[in-house]
Amino acid sequence: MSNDFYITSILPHAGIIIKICRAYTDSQEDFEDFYQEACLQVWKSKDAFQEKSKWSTWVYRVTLNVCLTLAKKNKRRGYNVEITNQRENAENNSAFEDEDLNLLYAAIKKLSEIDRTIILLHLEENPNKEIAVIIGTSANNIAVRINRIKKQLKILLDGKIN
Amino acid sequence: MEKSIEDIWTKGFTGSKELVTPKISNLYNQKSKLLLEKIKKTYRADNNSILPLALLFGIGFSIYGKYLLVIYGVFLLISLYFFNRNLLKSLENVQVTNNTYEYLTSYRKKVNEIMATTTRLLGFLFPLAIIPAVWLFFRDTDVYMTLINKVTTLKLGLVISGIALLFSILSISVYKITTKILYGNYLNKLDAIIDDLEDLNN
Repeated sequence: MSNDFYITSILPHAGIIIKICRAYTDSQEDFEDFYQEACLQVWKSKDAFQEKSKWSTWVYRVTLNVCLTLAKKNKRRGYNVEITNQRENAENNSAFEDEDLNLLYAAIKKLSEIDRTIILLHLEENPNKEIAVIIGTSANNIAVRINRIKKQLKILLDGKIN
Repeated sequence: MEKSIEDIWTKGFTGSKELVTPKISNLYNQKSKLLLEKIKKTYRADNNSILPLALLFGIGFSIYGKYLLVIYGVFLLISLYFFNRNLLKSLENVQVTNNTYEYLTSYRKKVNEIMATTTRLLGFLFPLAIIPAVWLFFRDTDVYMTLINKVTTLKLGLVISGIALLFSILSISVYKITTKILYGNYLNKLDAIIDDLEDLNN
């Protein structure tokens, strides 16, 4: 991937890639993996982009699909697990400076993968119609589901997650 | 006043240090971690390994003067190589950019197709292809002549069918077990997401 493509086409949308990847990962190491994979897939898929949607929507789609289908490394040796866990704890504690945001992310991570996708798109102010196109369902279904997810998040936040 | 989740989200990221991009390097040469890419790469590597195998097979049996067997075996292996290559091409058609439901279902469909094709290949064609190869190997030997003279055609037919059936059961079982070990968890996760999406659509 050329540096130019990264700077002009990916970096302006890095924010949404970061927000989505954070919602699907628990450690800095996984987050960086997901972020790199998303950038790689955005670059790989650039020729398939037909300008039927906005480039930013395209980036969402690719990133969401990458997060949903990323093959995780399952096997780690004992000592690696220990080191990684320590690192994870340290990084999770300082993942975001805003405590409310930390809690919200923690609550989002409790949702099913599809619900996470829907609420992230909603929080990024995508209209239900567009979310429906990205997910592959109807806008009505999305509206109903968003209400349900919000209730679920409220319960989690009120109980300070669990 | 209690903050809405939208407020928390917006305020949390305002002027935020949270959106600092991670360093990425050498992305062009990065291997993809997507399972589909992994399957493709493994499949390609597996398929390419057929070519040296065909060469070894050819050299090995030429030494024993089994030229017909060499022609038959090399033809079979080369055919298998091209067959697998075509199968691999179908995986290229899964676009990561389709809508999520379409993407996941077409992904699953391709995996199912490949599994079904491989099962058929291992269950039917592989044992059928082995029998002529065994015959080509033994046809000039004393063992074969003795067998032909002493055993009735019916019994011989039963033995051959038994061997074919055994090969079939064995190869399908090994394939199923290895697939489950390697991809079982992942496919379960994929199915759960698809179920969730279908639930959303209903």
